[in-house]
Amino acid sequence: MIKNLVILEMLLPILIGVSHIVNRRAHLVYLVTCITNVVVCVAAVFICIHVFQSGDMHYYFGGWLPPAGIEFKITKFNSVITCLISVISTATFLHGKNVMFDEIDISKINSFCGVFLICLAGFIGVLLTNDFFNLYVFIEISSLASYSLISISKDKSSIKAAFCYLIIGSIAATFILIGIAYIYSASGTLNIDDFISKLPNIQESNSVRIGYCLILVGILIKSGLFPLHTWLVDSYKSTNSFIVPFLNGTSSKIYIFLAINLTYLIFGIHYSFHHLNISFIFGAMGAMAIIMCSLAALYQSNLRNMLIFSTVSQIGYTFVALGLGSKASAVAAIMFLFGNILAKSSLFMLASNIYLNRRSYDMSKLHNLKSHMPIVVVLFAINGASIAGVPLTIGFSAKISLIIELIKKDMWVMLAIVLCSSLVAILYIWKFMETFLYSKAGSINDSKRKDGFGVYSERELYFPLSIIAFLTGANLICGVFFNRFAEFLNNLIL
Amino acid sequence: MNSFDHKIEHLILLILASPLLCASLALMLRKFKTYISIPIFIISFFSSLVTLIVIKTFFSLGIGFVNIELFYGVVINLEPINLIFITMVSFLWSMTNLYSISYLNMNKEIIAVKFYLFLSLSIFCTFCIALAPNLIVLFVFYEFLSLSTYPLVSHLGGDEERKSSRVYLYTLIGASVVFFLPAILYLMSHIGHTTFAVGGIANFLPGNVVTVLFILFLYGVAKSAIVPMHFWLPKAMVASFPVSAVLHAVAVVKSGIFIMIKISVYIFGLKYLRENISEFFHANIITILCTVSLLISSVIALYQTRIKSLLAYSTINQLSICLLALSMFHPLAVKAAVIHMVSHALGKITLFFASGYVYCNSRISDLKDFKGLGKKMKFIMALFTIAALSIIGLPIFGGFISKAYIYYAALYKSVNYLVLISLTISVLMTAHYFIKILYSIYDQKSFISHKKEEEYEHKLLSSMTLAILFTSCGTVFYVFIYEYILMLMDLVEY
Repeated sequence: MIKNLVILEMLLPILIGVSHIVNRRAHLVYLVTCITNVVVCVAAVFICIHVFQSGDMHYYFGGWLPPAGIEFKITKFNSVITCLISVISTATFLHGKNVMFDEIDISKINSFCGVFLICLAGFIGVLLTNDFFNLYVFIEISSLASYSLISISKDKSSIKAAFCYLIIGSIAATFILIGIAYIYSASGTLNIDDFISKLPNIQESNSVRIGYCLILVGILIKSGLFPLHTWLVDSYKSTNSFIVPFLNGTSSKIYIFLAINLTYLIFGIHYSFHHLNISFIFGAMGAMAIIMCSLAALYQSNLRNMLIFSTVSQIGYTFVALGLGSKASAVAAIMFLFGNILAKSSLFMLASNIYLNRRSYDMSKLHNLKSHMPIVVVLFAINGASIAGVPLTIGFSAKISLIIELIKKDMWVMLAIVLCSSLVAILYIWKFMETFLYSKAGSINDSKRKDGFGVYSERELYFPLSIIAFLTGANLICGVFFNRFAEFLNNLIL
Repeated sequence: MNSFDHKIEHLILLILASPLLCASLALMLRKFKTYISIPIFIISFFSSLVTLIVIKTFFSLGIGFVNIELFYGVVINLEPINLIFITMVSFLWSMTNLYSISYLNMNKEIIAVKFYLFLSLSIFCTFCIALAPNLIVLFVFYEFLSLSTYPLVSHLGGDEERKSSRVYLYTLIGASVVFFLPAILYLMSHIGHTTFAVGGIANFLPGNVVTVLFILFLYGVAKSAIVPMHFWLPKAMVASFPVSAVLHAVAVVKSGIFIMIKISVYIFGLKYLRENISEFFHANIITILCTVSLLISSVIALYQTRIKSLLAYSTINQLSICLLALSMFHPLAVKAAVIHMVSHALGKITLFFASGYVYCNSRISDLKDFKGLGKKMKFIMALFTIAALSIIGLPIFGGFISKAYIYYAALYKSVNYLVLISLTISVLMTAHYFIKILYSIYDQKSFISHKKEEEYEHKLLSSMTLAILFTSCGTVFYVFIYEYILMLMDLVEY
């Protein structure tokens, strides 16, 4: 029974998504999508519990055994990430009713929700599959869906951004496909477990090396590491505010998961870091991302753009942690992943709520938010603190585990970069906090003005805010029980 | 033995609960603004009496250092130095609550709920810093102390307050992230834990590493306001007088000194520091840094024209004296530093209280307006004089005893010329700038009439005068307090 949940988790969104084509009633579509999300989420939690109780699970499609057949393999690691992804997707949907009906044309909502579900199914497939070619297929499914999700917006430049993303994403996918072909030619298998068992014999083969590098480059492009991040910035900037928290929590993070999987679990620490020495690439690109994007975020006067650049710099931290090549650093990277998914998605959701009230993301319009939306400001402060690395949040746990690893490896320059950029992170979060807390210099009457800015006041947004508060609470719990959380993550990647 | 343990646990819980109780009272009683002050004062006074009972119980335990588990998983550290610190802070906190009963009545622009809420939270953080069993917990509460004092500094929300509080936050958090945190994490990665222990835990690291680490701590704990890191303290003086009095003369800055003492005694170990800190021209490098800080701050203090910034620079000056005393690194020096810490706290809080009284009375904050005040407000100015003489270090007052003890420590066994000379210079400079004010206060010739006085006169008898009287009694009868401190400090195991 529980085995069939695995395939249900992936197939249900696809089927419901396709069925949305004939369903033209927008509110019904929204409701059905929500229910689907919740079902997927519950299924993911059940599978996760089952995996923790009785070890890894395998699902063979059509009963065909690997290496010939296609296999889904559910380990502790990917089941936890699946839970996280489905929770974020559910949260986005439950939270975003106002945003969605506000920003998306009501005639497009059925196709939008359909594509959204297909995208979710693609991501879940990427996480669960144990087959290289299948991996590529799911990457393509999810990417194609996300291109179209990005293109739907009131801002026409989103179409251009989506087109750019389409081209860059297709190039990345092609890299991955060619890499898989190289690996297949050397090993003669597409099943990942089978490949791992064959790897010691073909380690020296050049085609494995080339294949590995090509897949890695593809993954780096897709995850938006610094010099390859332009598509991410452009598309998040111009798309609708509903989809950004979802894409932030899933699309680039899935590829970070793949990078951890590829370097630490499939090829192993020895092959990746001693045989090929990718730690330099990760470290250099990550450091550049941290420096450049923290500074870029500091100079943004647009709330959403600040959050986007901050996201890219957080991806940089994750890769710096990954590049250290030890188990503890992988744990740090996963902590960054968790922190980024929970805190940054909540921040994007908060930003969309602020947009509902003020009709602008621009700093000059956001003064004195605290007297109109006090809860939003409090939640923003907590999640911002997590990004900046203030104690008792995941961000802090992640940062100190990274710093301890850096000190152990005597990487002082990197340490200085990480510390200084976390200072910059405090600055850019604080800049907006200050805007929220004070009224504009000179206009004292601002606080007396009634909620005349937008359609929505905070009273109408209590339900969405409770969803964000839930994510924030999860963030704080993981941050407070730092030791147990680290132990838990350590168990994931045994 | 066991029953005592049990008793101490409950008493400490009482002490920790009292600021939280005050904070919740402030929140609950927000509708009855005028009545919050009195219950809060009573609670805080009660908690300061409890600290005395804790000290008595601790004496009967007869050990110098103990870790106690409060409840599941929460461990606190008890030793003489933090008991002295807690007693000092809680007494002066209750005095401030007494003082602010009338102060808030007279300054309606301060929001009472916000004031009491964040003041109580800051005091709670200070208690937690004092009781922290290891550096990580200490660091967490150190950051929270900075964050919880921020609203008090920026309380009015004007342009000047906003800028000053920004500098305040940036300097404190910046220094702690860039210097303090890496030093802690270095210890963490090389020792594996940072728990305080008798004789130190880091006494196997090479000498130059210890020197670098100690300098990182010295500048990272920017709350101790050593000179290049001192900018925040004069900026923080935009806060109201009670806040400046209890936080920026006592709780915050003294917690900086306390952390430095704790680190040198229980992390590095005094003997190890004495032998291993690098030397420069036959003088300990830490002593040189403190001397530089001492001299620079003395010179800057000479040129101040506003009472609050003068008091701020005088505070920086006296804090440097504490650090200078500590930098001799032997048991007598630690005693001297603790004694000076307490005597300065008593003297400086009296000065702040008295100048707050003057401000309430006639809105004076410039030093040149102090002329002739001695005739108008005889009693308060007499108390002001006592406190100023104590800070200078004239006999029978608190400052004399503590400075004499520092001389004694510097002359003990081998003469430390650098400390002797710099201390003498700074005493002369302090005498110069304080006697200048005292002279103008009692100057009969140039008398300015203060008009607003009549409005307030009838109210002033109340709590403010009482609080000033109590704290100045502390400076006058410091001999007795000094006896008790010495008795407690004899218990410290080095």
